[in-house]
Amino acid sequence: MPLELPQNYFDLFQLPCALEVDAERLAARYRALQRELHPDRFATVGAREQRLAAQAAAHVNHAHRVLNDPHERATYLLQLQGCTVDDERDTTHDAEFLMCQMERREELEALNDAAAAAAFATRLGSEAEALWADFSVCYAARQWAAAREVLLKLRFYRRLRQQLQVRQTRLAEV
Amino acid sequence: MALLQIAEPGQSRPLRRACGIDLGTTHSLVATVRGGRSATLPDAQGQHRLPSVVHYAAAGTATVGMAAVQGAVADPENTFFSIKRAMGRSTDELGGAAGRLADAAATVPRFRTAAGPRTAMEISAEILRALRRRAEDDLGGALDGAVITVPAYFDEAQRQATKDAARLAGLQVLRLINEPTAAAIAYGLDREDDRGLIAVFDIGGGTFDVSVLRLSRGVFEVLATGGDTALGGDDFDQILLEWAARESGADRDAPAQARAMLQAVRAGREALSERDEAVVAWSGGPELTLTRTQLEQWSEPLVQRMLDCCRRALLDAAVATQDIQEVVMVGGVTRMPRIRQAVSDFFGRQAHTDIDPDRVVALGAAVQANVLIGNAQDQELLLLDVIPLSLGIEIMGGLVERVIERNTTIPAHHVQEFTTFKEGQTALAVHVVQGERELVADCRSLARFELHGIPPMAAGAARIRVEFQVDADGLLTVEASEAASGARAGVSVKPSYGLAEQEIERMLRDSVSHAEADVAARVLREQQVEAERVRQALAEALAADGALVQDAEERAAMEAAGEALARACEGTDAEAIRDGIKTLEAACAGFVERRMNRNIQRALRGHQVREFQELS
Repeated sequence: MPLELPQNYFDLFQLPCALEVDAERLAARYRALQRELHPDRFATVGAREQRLAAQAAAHVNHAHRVLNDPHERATYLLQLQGCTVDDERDTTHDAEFLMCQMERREELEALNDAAAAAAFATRLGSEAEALWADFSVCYAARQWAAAREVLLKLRFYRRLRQQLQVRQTRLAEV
Repeated sequence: MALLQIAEPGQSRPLRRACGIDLGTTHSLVATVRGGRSATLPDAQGQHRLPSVVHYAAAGTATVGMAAVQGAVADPENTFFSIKRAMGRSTDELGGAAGRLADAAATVPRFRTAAGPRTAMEISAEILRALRRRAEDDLGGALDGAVITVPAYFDEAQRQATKDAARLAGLQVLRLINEPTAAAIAYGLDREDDRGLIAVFDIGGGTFDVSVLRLSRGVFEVLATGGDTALGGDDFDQILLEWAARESGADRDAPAQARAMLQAVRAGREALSERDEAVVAWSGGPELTLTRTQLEQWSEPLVQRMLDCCRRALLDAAVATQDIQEVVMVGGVTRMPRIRQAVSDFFGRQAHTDIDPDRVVALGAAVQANVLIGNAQDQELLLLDVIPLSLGIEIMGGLVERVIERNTTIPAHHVQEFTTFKEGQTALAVHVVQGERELVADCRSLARFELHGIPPMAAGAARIRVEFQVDADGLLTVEASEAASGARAGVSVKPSYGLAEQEIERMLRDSVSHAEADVAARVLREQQVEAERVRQALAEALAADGALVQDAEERAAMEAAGEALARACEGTDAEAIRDGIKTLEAACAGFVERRMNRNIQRALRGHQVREFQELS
């Protein structure tokens, strides 16, 4: 790309390279970048500017999407340390954890009213929070492989939460 | 009385002519910004809404709007209502309307008309042409550009079809924008404190959309959009039509009668927004009485489906109903008291109705057109919109691998790697699909192409990069390449039942041969206008950023290319002008890149200043 855009997402948004990001700052910087780079700024000029602007804006959009999501942000932080996580292929091999996840799945399937779903959501939330605390400790200690293992577990919670939300929406529709 | 030149006080450059067009299923509107205010334009009779109806006469002429509606009862076979529903649709998808096709086996569906077979794009272009003329009369000259709105839930094929129709109508499309986003602009800009979450509830004739946006200092960020392309105002009328047929014993299959009944029930439904009872009558039929209670009872399932879409959109946006600070209503059907009530109950607040729900989309589109064309340099307005449906490709077993998720902000760019699954495989078929389902069969097929020239390798050894790019109009380009050999293949995604470039050119030729004498002259004129635009853009860029020119040599090359283009414009060779534009753009490439990089640096530096303003 002939564009001189910072390739590191944290640099692009001028944020410290860390697990926690200041959401308001991220949002404000995202808007500031798009104000200058969005193709709409170049609607009446040449085709080349339009293409470059689209490239730049797409890069900013993608970077924003990654930093705005805790899970993707954590994955990206590990990747910056040379520790990649393939969302499709990699998984945890912790048998006890996998058993526990199967139970959670069954509990999710059995939910049939809004109050039970809300209670389940709270439980999932606190379990995920504990894992995030683990991740934070591993990350601070630069134990990338251990951090990666925790992240793989967190992925289960992410999917559970998504499925739970779909279920809660269905319950509301009935 | 046409104005020769429109200039705002204190502005040196004359304003460019731009309009916003709401190309609707049942009605269409056009709006322009004059003196800082956006207004929809009426026809000679004072009507702002142009019925989206086209009638073809045997002589080949097309009538649009009220005149076409009036002729419909006498000549239903040659009259087209709700053509928007057929945009970007294949023969198989047209359903009941397929009976009107000239040739059921043709890849691009063409409808039978007295003037010969016509595609949905050509029929829509008649509507757009009528609106273009209205805008040109108002602005006093040829349009420089237009923003056209589409339902947020329109897929790739439907967007592309809309752009093609605009081109056939001779419009330079500045941008396709989503209807709910346009409505939010019309509302948002007048606000004192422009921060907060907005939900837009948009019932069109044939589509329903709901969008959740965050507005912050002139930036409209769409968080999620949802809806149903098979749910709209027409569905309310269909329910009433069934009732009227049942009550009267009238034959709904007789086209003329069906048309008259439809107009009667629609009038009845509209009357019920003001009263509790309405009389529904048509020529040759009985007088029926319809009550608001009946209408509300029968249409409740439709209302519930709309609220379900709202729930899903809020979920996708990750916001709760109580976070929504404003609710904007779009579309005439939202005048129904039951719908207003349902929406108010759902969001827990009164919906905005102070801008006419029929006009709000066109008003917002005109504001955006005015900004994009460069007439409102001091106005802070930026739209960050999303794709409504996920994009992906087919993988083994008829499954879909998503490459870009729905509600991803556009423009978007994503690369995914795939591999071969057979030993020595030298080609790969890429099938691009759109939709949320796991199986290819349940998604919409957008395009297929093949990548050849992969060097024979063991299964799984080849690395094939598939690159998806979605531009600011929401249109997709896909490219596949293989790393080792450098083999490449790609498509601008155009569904097989869409229009090929040659077909558009042929249609353009056909349409001008009726209306505007000389084809060659028109093509030449188009190129001259384009050349003028490119030269003007360069002149403005040089005036603003002359310091970014690298050296005298570069400046000389740009100037020489500019002068050569100017000379070509004086001639009559359209091809030479086209080449001249390309040469000029190539000469400017370095300068253009430096300007873009300077913008990037400015944006990065500007962070601190902006942030201070934003966080304060």
